[in-house]
Formats: sequence, C-alpha cells, structure tokens
Amino acid sequence: MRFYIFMGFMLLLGGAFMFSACDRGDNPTDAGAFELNLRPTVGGQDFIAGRPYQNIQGRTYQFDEFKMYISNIRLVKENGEEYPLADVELFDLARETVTRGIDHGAGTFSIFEGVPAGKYAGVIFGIGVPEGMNTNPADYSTDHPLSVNTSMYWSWRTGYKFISLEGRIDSSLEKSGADLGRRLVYHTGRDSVNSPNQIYREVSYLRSQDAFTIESGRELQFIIEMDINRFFYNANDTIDMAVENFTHSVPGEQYDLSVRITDNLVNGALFKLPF
Amino acid sequence: MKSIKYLIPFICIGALMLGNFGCDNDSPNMAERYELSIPDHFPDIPIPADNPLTVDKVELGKQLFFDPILSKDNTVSCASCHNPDFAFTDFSRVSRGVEGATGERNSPAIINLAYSNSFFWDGSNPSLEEQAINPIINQLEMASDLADVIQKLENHPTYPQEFQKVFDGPPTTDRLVKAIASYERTLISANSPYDKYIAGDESALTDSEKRGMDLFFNHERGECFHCHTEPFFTDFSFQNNGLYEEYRDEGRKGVTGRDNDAGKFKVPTLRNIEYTAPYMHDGSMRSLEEVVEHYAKGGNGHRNQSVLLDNIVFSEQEKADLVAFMKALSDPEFVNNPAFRPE
Repeated sequence: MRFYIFMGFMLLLGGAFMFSACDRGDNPTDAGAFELNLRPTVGGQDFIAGRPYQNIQGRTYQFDEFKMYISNIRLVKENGEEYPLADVELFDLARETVTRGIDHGAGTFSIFEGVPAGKYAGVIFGIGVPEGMNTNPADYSTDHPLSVNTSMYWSWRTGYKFISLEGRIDSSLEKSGADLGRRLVYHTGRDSVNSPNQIYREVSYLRSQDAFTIESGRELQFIIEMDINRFFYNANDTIDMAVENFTHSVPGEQYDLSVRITDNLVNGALFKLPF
Repeated sequence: MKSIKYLIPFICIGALMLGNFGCDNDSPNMAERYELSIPDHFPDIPIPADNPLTVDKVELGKQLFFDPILSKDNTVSCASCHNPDFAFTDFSRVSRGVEGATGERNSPAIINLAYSNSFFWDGSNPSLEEQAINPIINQLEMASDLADVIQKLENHPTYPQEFQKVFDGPPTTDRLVKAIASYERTLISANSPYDKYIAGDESALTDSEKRGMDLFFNHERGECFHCHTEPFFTDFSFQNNGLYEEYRDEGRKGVTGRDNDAGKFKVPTLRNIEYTAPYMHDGSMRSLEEVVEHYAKGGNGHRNQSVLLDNIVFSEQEKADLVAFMKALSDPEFVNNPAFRPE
C-alpha cells in the first residue's frame, strides 16, 4: 500500500513539474489587471491615421505616423507607496483599432497583469525616454520597446525619439485643403545632447485617495485622451504648423519647437476620461 | 494490476523528463550548442525556444541552403539567389527561378536577419523559420511541392541520417525550415571599417568616408540614418521612398490591404551594400551613385512617399563622400567567411 502512495505522490509531482515547466510566470490570486489606454483624438473624435483634420488655424493636415514612449509607469497606493508597472512602453497611436474581448476603443493600450488588488490614489508616468534608458538599442533585445526595430532610435549620438509625428499639411494661402504639399515631421527628444534642458516629462493623475480600485481577477481600464490639435497651441502660443513644420530637436529653434509641443501635450492635450 | 505496478516508476520518470525538457522541442538534449559571435554594439539574438541553435543543425541548414534538391527540377537552391559572393544576393535585377522564371523583385540580402521581425520586401512573413517555405513552393522560384521535397530528402543517401542526428527523427517540413533558419541566423556581419571606427580605431575610415558619415547622420541634410539606422543600417520598417509616382508592385499594401501602405517596401540594410547591386526592390538602380541622386532629388512624389525625403542640394564631393561611407559598411570577412559556405 505504501508503495502505491509513494508512486501516486511521484506521479503528482511529475505532473506538476510537467505543467509548470514552460510557464514560470507568477499568478497571484489576489490580483487584477491595469490597462493604460492612450486614445488620440481631434476635436473630440477618435484620431485615425491618414485622415485629414483641421487645426485651429483652419489648415488641413493629416498624420500618418504617431508613436510615443511612455516610461516609468507606476501606480500610487493610498499610502503613497508606488507599484511599478513598466520601465518603458512604446505606444503606436497610428495603429488600427485593436480589440481584445472588451472594447478598447480607438486607442493603443498596454495591459499590466498581476497588479495587487486594492485601492489606489492614481498613476504616474513619463513621456519620453528617461536618461538612464536613453542609451543604445544594443542594450535591448529585439522584442523590447527600445529595440532598434521600432524606428524610434536616431543614433548613438542622439539617442531615441520620444514622440514621432509625421504627416502633411496644406500650406497654401487659400487653405483649401486640396494640396497637402508640405511635410510635417515632429520628432521630439535628444535629451542626451541638450542636458540639462530636458524634454522628458512626468505626468501624474493622483487623487488624495481612492482614485480607483483594482479588483481581484478583473481588469481596470484607464483611458487617457490626447487632443492632437492641442499639441500645437495653448493660451499664449500657437504653433503655425505650415511654417513650423519640422523638428528633429536639433539644438536651437528645432529643440525649442519640440519643447513647446511637449509642454502643450503635458499641460493641455491630455485628458483622463471619468470611469 | 501487478504489471501496472512495474510501469508506474517509468511513467513518473517520463513525466519528470517531460517537465524538464518540454520547452525545447524537437532537438536532442545533448546537442552541442552553436555559439554566436555577437559584437558589443549588437543586441543579443533571440533564439526561438522551439528551435535551439546547435552546431549540427546549422551545418545541416547550410547544406540544405546550397542544395538544389529543394527545387522542382533540382536546378535552383537558396544560394542561387542568395550567393555569398554578393553578400547573399545574386547580382541580378530580379532573380531567376526554375526554367528561367523571373519575378518582379530583387533578391534581398541575407545579413543580420536574426534581428529582423519580418521577411521579404513586403514583410509578408513574420519568422525566419516560416519564410524558408515560401521560396521552395513559389512557382517563380523553386516551384516545388513540399511533399515531394520531403520525399526526395527521405530518399537521399545522407539526409535521413543527418536529420536523425539533429532532430531525432526523419525529414519533415518543420525540421527542414528550422535547419535553414538556424543557418541563416548565424549570418552576422559586424566587422566593416565603420564598425572598427566606432570601436575606437579612428584610422579605420578615410577622410572622405568620415565626411560621408557626418552627412549620413546629419539631422538637417543627409538624414539617411532615419531609416538606415545603426547598428543594422535598417530600422526594419516599411517605407515608400518615392521611387515611382505610381507603383506597379504595391509592396506592403499587398499584405495589409491598406492604401496608405501602397508603394512601401522593407528598408534594406546598407551593410555590404557595395556587393548587392542592383538596388531598390525591383533592382532598377545599378549604382550607389544613382541611388544618391534619387534621394537628393527628394523622390518622385508618390502620395505615400516618406515625409523624411526632401530635395537636398549636394555637391559632387558630398555625393562621393556619401557613397564612400556606404562602401565603408562593407565587411569582406563576412562575404568571404568559409564557415558560411559549403565545404
């Protein structure tokens, strides 16, 4: 009889080993998921790459590429303790709508699993690539957001683009929208050569307490809208996209333009949807 | 009942072994690993869990790569269009398949493909393993039937034993492409004068090559680096480079169906570009000088043309410097490496 008990135990052990060998991931039982969903819009409508829109100066433009690095993403617990979610993620905001069981809308999202259930005061993240990570794609495997395969790396001299917006605009006097003949290239970044002036920005969505609750086994969707038109103006400054149509963040006017766009994004273009 | 009692220890051991080795499929556990030589300025190479890199598998893949047995009439091998003498291209505008069949696209170089996440000019295939099937069955290339190929390999005097040694089993399509992909994964080029220069040898580049490099990486004039990003001198993206106002071959659009992908093709590496003429997806440009003229002109204005292209006035000296720099990406050690060729 003892032999059968022993062998039964061995079978269970072997079976458990077999089924656990390929999946080393943690699976905490008291955990949920947090989805960070970035949803670009223009005038309240979902942004779609390649579609013409009008800016506040009445000029027709379109963007075909829109990528952005979001980094140092962490949740803040009610006691102020931070729960890190990711070092860096690349959001391809020109991508077509992706759905995964639930409606994620038109944005691009990252889902972080295994987040401890409980109440949180909010979320903090950076826009761009912070200094410690703004190094070289040789440091990152090809499936990493900072790999060279992402088209977001300039060179070892200048590091990574933080935001890449590319498209075309009608720069004619008539503003008819018929000829999107002027290119739009907005590549922000180059902190590595402009230090200590930095384009990297952190944004936070915090309440004093109970901003949201992660429930065990459930996914919380945190949607952040960003109005692309508002990248190009604020109460005191309007960027004339037909003229100021190009930046690779080269020190000087180009870098200043990148700073203005980033400040507009952080200060005016980001809105969190109520949930 | 007694007989089951004696089987139980074997079942237990079997279960334990499955648990230990279940992740590495289809490869003998004691096979000698192939150690890739990866330079410091290159990332690590991701190796698929179900296709570990072994010495014998790479050798088998190399043998298959150079063997016309994979083609319908035993006349065309992978190496027919990917000849190591030409940095794994074929020095033709478009390649010739069995019975002289020709396609519309130029043979792409096989260089540092281990880092790529899509294959073919239109990116229609996502893995190095899967892409190996296409040329074998493509009617304009090897025009084979996979079942026939496997049959030929099974009837071959040595392949069955070699597959057995490498995979612990007979030839199959899956094992065939895993072997070829393993060989292709080893084709790393990283020892050009440029590589020596960035490693600290300032004398590795001539003055002209250095001037060309500065233009290449210039953020306001050359701007070549946007798409031909170091260290691979491609960012593996798809771009419309304004080669035509209207494209007969619409490239990436054929994969995605999206009109804004019309005329987009995968950005080729510039490593060893000196050896891979003619240029462009259709081999329509014979020389690097012609390529530089095209980009200096700013393209032909297709609606999807990359906005990074712009009309730039280069002096004749600057054009020569750009070409000189591109030639400084040549890696003769790679092209002549005996390890990449059949014995």
